[in-house]
Amino acid sequence: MIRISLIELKKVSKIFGEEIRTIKALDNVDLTIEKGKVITIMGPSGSGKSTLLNLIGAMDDPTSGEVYVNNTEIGRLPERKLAVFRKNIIGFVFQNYYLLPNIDVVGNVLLPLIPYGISSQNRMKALELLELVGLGDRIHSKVGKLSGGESQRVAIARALINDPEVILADEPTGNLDSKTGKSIVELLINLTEQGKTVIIVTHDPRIAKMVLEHRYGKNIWINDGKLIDNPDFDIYEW
Amino acid sequence: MVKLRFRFLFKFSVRNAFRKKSTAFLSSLAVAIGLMLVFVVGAYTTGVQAQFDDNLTRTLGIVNVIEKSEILISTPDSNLPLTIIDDLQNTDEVGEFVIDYNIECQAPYSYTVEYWDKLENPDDKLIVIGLNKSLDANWGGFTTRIIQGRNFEVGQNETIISSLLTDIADFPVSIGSKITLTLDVIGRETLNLTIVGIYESIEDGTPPFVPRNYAVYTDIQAVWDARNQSRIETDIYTMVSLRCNVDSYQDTLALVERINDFSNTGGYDPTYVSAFSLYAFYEAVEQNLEIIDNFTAILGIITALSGGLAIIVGQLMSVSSRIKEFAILKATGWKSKHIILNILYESITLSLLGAGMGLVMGATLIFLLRGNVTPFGNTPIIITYRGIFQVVIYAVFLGVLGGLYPGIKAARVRPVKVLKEL
Repeated sequence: MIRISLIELKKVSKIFGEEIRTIKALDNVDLTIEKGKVITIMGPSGSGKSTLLNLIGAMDDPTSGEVYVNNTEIGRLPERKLAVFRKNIIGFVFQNYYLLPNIDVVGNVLLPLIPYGISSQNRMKALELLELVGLGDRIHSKVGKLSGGESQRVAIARALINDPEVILADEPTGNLDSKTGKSIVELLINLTEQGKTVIIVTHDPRIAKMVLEHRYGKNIWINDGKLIDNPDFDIYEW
Repeated sequence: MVKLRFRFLFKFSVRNAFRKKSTAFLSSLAVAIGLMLVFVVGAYTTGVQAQFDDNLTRTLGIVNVIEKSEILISTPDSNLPLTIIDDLQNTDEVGEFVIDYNIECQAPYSYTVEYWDKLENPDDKLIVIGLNKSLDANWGGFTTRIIQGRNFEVGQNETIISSLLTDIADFPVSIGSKITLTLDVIGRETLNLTIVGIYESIEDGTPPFVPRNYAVYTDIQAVWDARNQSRIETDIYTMVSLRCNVDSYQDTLALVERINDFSNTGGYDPTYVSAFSLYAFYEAVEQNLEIIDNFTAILGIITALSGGLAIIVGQLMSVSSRIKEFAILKATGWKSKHIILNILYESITLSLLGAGMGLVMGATLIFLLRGNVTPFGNTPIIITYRGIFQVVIYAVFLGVLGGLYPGIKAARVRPVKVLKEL
């Protein structure tokens, strides 16, 4: 099967701070991710995992280098086009879910579409997505009444509402117990069946293991802002 | 569908506006107080304006003549000879327009001591005005409309009184009642008159704390007779009002100018007269009123702006507490303009709620102000669609003003920065 390169980073560096007090979060990173893959980005805290994810998701600009997503160099996009890019290409899943408490479950799923207009097809899709994540019977529940796992499922449905090509999940199981976390990761991995590319930032080796066992799964290791080809530890023994 | 897409954003914003109900209510209340003031002041000035416009309408074609060097006050101490009528009639380009005379002989002093403490204000007075009915065939001027009873008859010691007196006088003023009017301070000249009619008199917008004079009309001969008893002044006209057949205020003023020019060249020798139109008087008052209007409007706007400030503060607090939310919205594809619109819709919703509250509060206040116990007295306060529309426009303006800066601030949020800090 021929796999097309969807995400490409060329000599990307990201430096935070100014003058002498700087932190090099990413250092000359080259990376290619093919369409339909499920990837974990693994590494210790402060290694640059989330920074890498934010650059791919057009949430931040690289200090140097180029980030291509879908053959578009996102660093060159103006603010308004970046918003459209984030809407159409990227779906974010955050560790803390970030759902709006004053609207119900289906309203949160439809949130990205609100300023662009919501059609009946969009509503149907929201319901389908909630069925997919196992919340078909909670569509009008207040999000404050949901468990952590249910909230994260809503967040995943929200990330999928625009039918994005790339799902970026930053520590999606960080606030969940192991059983719930496992079901969330399974849900994310299964999105590859729909042709989605899923990138999961985590420092949980169990997630890395699950991903690696998937036929399209791959682990990427990062430490001190640099990608590592052969980590000196075994995730199965972590 | 594209045209309606912001409908969803609007609904979302309205729901967000009331997320913190107490804050939303207080912000709206602050706006409501300011807009209530705008509304009430607007309604009051509209009422006063309507009265002045009515008065202006009544001055069309009316030219008043008094003795030169006298000034227009309620009781001019003016002496015009009985020949003044012929003199005016014979004045070139004046007499041809005159259709009626309304000869007045106002009491030299209108201290109606019997009623000093029986009117609304201690300094209010009754002015006794003698009218020459025989020279005024159509009975023009301000006493045309008798709304109760009938007009007075000559030689019968009868009088007609202002309808305003019936509301405020603390003595009998109904048809058939008798009143005694003293024409000077030492009580030598008195008139015993029977009230036979009440003429329509409208409020002129004067606040009740300003002393007023209430005109009591009777036969001019009765006034002269009273004066003859004291042998001081007799058979003079205090003021001659000409009712002229003209089409415009400019023509009225042209006649005034013509009489004054004629008088200044000795045309009425030995009596020099001064003509004037109340139009000029009301116009001058109206200009002053406009200044007061503008001042009160500015005052109202400043108060309303302070309400807008409350919206800004409320929205800034709201934006600060929801900064994470805006970061998420941007991360999910919202544009900066969507965030700004969201905040604008929220603040406009709050200020429109304030407008609604302000209109209700204002209408209640106007209802209360219509009583006599307030400084506004009986002055009509007119609520117009224009006044309501004005309040709504102010509310939208305040909403935009109150939401713009917080909206821009929210739109500047960089998702990555906010989310990293959390």
